[in-house]
Parts: sequence; structure tokens; C-alpha cells
Amino acid sequence: MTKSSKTSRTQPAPLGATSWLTGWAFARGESVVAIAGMFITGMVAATVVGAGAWTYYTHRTTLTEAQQDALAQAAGSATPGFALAMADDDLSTTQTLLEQFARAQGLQSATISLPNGTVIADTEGKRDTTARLPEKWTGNDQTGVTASYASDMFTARAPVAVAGRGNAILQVTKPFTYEPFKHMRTQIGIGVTGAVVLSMGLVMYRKMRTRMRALGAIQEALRFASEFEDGLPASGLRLAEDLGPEALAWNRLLDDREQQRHRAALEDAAARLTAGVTAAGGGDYAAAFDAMWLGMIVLDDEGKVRVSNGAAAVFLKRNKGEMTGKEISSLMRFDDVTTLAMNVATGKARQRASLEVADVLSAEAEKTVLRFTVRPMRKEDGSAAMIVIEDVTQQRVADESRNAFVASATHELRTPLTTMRLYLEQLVDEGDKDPLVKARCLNVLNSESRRLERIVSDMLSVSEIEAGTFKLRGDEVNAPEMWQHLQEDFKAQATDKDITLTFDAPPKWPLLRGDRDKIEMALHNLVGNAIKYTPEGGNVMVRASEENGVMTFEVSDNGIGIKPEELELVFEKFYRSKDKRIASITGSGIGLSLARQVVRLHGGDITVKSQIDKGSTFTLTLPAMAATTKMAA
Amino acid sequence: MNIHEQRHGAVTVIKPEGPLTSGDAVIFRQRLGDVMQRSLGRLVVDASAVAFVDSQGLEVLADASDQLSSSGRVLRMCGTTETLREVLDVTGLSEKFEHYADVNTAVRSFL
Repeated sequence: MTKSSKTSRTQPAPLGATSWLTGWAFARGESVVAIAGMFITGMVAATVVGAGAWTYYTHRTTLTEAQQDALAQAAGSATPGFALAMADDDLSTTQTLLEQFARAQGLQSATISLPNGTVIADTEGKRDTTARLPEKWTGNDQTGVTASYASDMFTARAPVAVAGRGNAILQVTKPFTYEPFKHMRTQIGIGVTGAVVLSMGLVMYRKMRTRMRALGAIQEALRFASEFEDGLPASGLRLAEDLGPEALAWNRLLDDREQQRHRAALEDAAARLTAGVTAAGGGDYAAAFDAMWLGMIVLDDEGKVRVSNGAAAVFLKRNKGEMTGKEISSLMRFDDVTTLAMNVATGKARQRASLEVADVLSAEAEKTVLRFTVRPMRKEDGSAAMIVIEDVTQQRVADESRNAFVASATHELRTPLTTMRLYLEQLVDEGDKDPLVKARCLNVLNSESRRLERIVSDMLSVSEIEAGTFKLRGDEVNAPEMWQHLQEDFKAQATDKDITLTFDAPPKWPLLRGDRDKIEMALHNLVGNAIKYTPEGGNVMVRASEENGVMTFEVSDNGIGIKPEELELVFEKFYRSKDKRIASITGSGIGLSLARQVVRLHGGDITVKSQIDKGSTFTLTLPAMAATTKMAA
Repeated sequence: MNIHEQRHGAVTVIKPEGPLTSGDAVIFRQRLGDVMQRSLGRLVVDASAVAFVDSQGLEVLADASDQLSSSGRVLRMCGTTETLREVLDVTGLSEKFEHYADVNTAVRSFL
């Protein structure tokens, strides 16, 4: 398709810039050699014809003179015989001799006459048979033989000296006989042969000329191209198609070469980009390209990869080196993206478009969410589209976690609010009548409001930690008081679930420095979780101890336990266990995460050991005196 | 040497426990390569339990970093012990990695 369109639109270029002759010849698709051949052929033909004419002329002239001389000589030599016969007055003999002479010499006519006009002998019957020779006569003083030539006829006159009587005249005529084919056999043979050969050469040349025109044109094109130092120019060397198959083949060669050069230029550009060498020799674009964590692919207008970076190769699970020059459809696993990219690359679509694709290559491979953004990229060099590939897996996981958190947090907030509203209504309706009801309602309202406060506080703390504005106070912590609050807060809750909640305090509390509220919040989360995830009738043990300046709080339960693979994940923000047994238990998924971050900010840590169905032990360690230093930092 | 793997969202945290030397380094190299292949580079090396690293261990870490950086990514490390950090600083390899205080911070950097 491409070739035919190129062939039809391109005409032979005006290569006559070098000289008028080459220009004219090339415009006709002929070579100078062909023109020179025609000229030489004409010259040879003219020479042959001229030489033939000249040979004919000179030969005829020479022959005329020779025959004229021969006739004169024959006439002169014959006169003595006639003179003797006439001296004897024997005219009949004279007549006979004359006739014999005429036949022998091939004469047209022969006449012997006297000066007075009397015909003595004649070959044409004009003789006067009654005539007698006079005894003596005068006249005719001619002494030598004369000869002349006119109108293809020789005429010779010779005196016949009759002894004692006078001079008679012998006049003979003879036609000029010239047979060129007889006399110029060799020359004519050479001439005819030459003419035949020349004619055949001309005919052959005529036949070959059409073919030679194309070859001559190609020759001229090559000569023209040799003037360019950079090699064959890309255009301007195409030949007219009517010059024949050679011209078509030549044009096809040019097309192929042009395509190869174009392809080589693309590959060179890609190689230069890959090698980090720019045309200006300045920036290291390829290195910058590869340093991008976004996958980048540049496609040409046929959907073939011109340039790609390392990240793109990783996302498509390909070797970077094998991508250049291949069609995107053979590299891309996602049909939707391929279709989109091809539409943009070929110009069917002109707008930027994005697609997110969940990619799971195999059972072993982790799920990956890739976002493909395809942009049109119109340029003169033929680049048509750019594909940007982004790994958004973690963002999507985070989105899911946030959504789950919002749903969970909403539920967490609503639960105490609902409880508070119900008890508030009961307090309004029955509080004045029954002091016990009033006390119970106020107690519940108090605990629920504190619960609500903790939830909101946790959320605020999370956002402060995220924002980097989280601050700790460096107060002295009244550990016994904190311990007391802990027992009071969970006593009722444990009782409700029939859980045996045991607190084992050390005999002597060390001095703790830190943010009391935050440390209490951390312990609160640990104990609250233990009660929450321990079935009714279970045991929860909270033990505090101090050793080598490290305060340790252990919260053990005999609850549902945690799967080994989730032991660290439970400290992850917004993480909720996949265990089906806790599906009905509400939780925001921020408690443990927040507790660990807070404790770590105090220089301590929270660790966990657990066995599924047997229970868990969370251990909170806190440096007794070092907390102050950490907080100051 | 124990090598623990944990998923944090879409990020895999690989935690070698013990000195990263000779034979263990070879095992860790293979494990690290598997994780890089599976996770498309979404990984964090938790070095909090690596007390010491020799030349082979350093080579494993440097090679992994080079492999990731060829496609615009970087090897994230967290919990690097003081000893390990000094070794990385002295050998000039420290700049090849991104260092984070803890796993959560490192994982959050993928967002």
C-alpha cells in the first residue's frame, strides 16, 4: 500500500541541474551514451554514403577518359588499313574493313568520308555505292586523332591519309558503357555489407533503446547521487514508470532503501535514547527515563514500541531490550489497553484515557493494580502515543482500608451514642422517680461518654501522628492511679461477659515519666482488646512488673488467638483480622497501631505472642526513666 | 537464618534474622529475588534483626538495589541497626537505599 502510493505521487526529479544535455537526456529517460551513439551512427551513415558517391564519381570519370583514349587509339591505328584499300580504289574492301572494325570495337557508327562530304564507307548504309574516288582531293588538314565525349557518346575523328590523293576522314561513335555493379563489385559489396550491418545495428539499437533508456537513467541517477557526500539522497532520484521494469525495480530499491533508512533512524534514535546520548550530546535522557518509577512507552503510528523504560519492562514482565520495535499487541497482556493504545497511536482516538487493570499473573504472584494512561503524542517524527504505567496497588489497598475504617469508625461512634441516647431518655422519664435507675443511667452515660472520648481521641492521635504534629507530655506518671483507673474501667465490662479479670501489680511501682494519658490509652487498648476477643467465661490477666529499669505490662487472655501470619499485621493501621469469628465484633483497627506508635515514641515497644484458640499475650515494655529523654527528642 | 515475610497491604516486608554472611547471604539473595519478582518491587527489607553483614551480604543488598534502580525503583530498608548503618556508610553503599525508622513508615512511603 505504502509503496504504490509513494510510486504514484513521486515524479522523476529535474536532474538536469548538472548540464543541459544530461538534463534533457535524463528528462527523457535517456543517457548521454545513447545520444552519442545515435550521433555517431548518423555520422557513419553519412560517411558511407559520401564515400560511395565519391567513389562512383571518380571511377566513372576515370573510365570515361580511358574509353575515350582507347577509342581514339583504335581509330588512329585502323586508318592505315583503310588508306591502303582506298589507295587501291577498292571501296568495297574499305567498306568491309570498316564494318569489321566497327564490330570489333563495338562502335555504334563508323564513317569514312571525303572532305567534300562524300561518304566512302559507312556502317549505317549511307554510303554512295556509285561513288568513285577522285584522283586527288584537298582539304582536311587534320593530322592527329581527336576524340570527344558528350551525352554518353564518344566521337573520334582520325585522318585517313590516302597516298597520292589526299586525306579522308574516319569518324566513329561509340556509346559509353558503364556498369557499376560490374566494375565496382568490391566496393559495392563492402558498402552493402556495411549498410546491412549498420541497418541491423540501428534496428537492434532501436529495439534496445527502450531498455537502454532505463539503464541510462539509472546510470545518470547514480552519477547524480555521487555528487552527494552523504550518500544517495532520499528523494529526487525516482524514475518515470514508463521506462520499463528496470525503472520500477530501481524505484522499488529506492523505496526499500528509504524505509531501511527510516527504520535505522528510528532505531538509532531509540538507541541514542537508551544509551543516554542525545543529539546535542548534553543530557542523559535515557538514564532519566529509566530512573522514573512510572512505566513509559512511546509508540509510533503503527503501534510499535519506539522507546520504553525499565519500569515499563518490569510492569509488562518483559526484557527491556526486546521491546523496541515490537508491536504493543505482542507485549501487552491486557486487550483493553492494547485497543486503547492502538486507537490513540493510529489517530482514531485523540483524547487522553486511563484504565486500571488488576493483574494476577500466577497463583504465586501478588495481585497488582496497574493504571495505564494513554496520551496522544503528535510529532513530526511519527511518534503517536505514549503509555504511562503506574503501580497503584498500595493506593488501592489503602483506599479499601480507609473505606473499611470509615464504616467501622462510624459504627464505633454510633454505638456509644445510641446507648447514651437510650439511657438519657430513660433518665429523663424515670430518673426523678427512681434514684437507682438514675444512678445506673448516669453511670452508663459516664462510661459511654468516656468511651466516645477515647475513640475520638484515638482518631485524633492517628491523624496527628500522620501529620507529624503528635506531641507527648513529659509528666511524671502516677502509675498506681493509672492502674486503678484501668481496673475500674474494665470491671463492669468483664463482669458483663463473665470474664475473670485479674490485675497483678508489682509490690513497688517505679517512677515513670511520660504522657500519662497516652500510656493509659495504650494499656486501655490492650486490655480492651483482650476482653473483646475473649469468649464469655474466659480469663484475662494483666500483670505489671519492673526489671532493670524496664517497666513491663503483660496482658494475657485465653481467647480466640491470632494466626501466626497476622501477628504483625494486627499492629498495622486499619487492619482487621480476616478471622470469621470476629466478623461480628466491631473495631476501627487503629487501637493496636496507635498503642504501639505511642509506646515506641516513649522508647518502648509492644510485642505479641499468640496461639490460635489458646489465647494471646501482648507485652508492653516501657523504660522507666528513659522516657523523658525520648520525649525531649 | 530465618527469613520472615509479611504483607502490609500490597507491600511485602522481608525480615532476615541473624548475621547476613556467606551461605545465608546466598539464601537471602534467592528469597529477595523471589519477592522482588512477585511484588514488582513493592518490598521493604526490615534489617532490625541483622546484627552484622559481610561483603557477600553487602553484595546481595547492592545488587538488589541496582536491579530495582534500573527500573526507577529503590530498595527500602527499615530498622537498620547502628552496626549495619556504619558498615553501609563506610562502604559508601548507604546512599543506594532509602532508610526508614520502622516498617510502617517504610510501607507508607509506597503511597
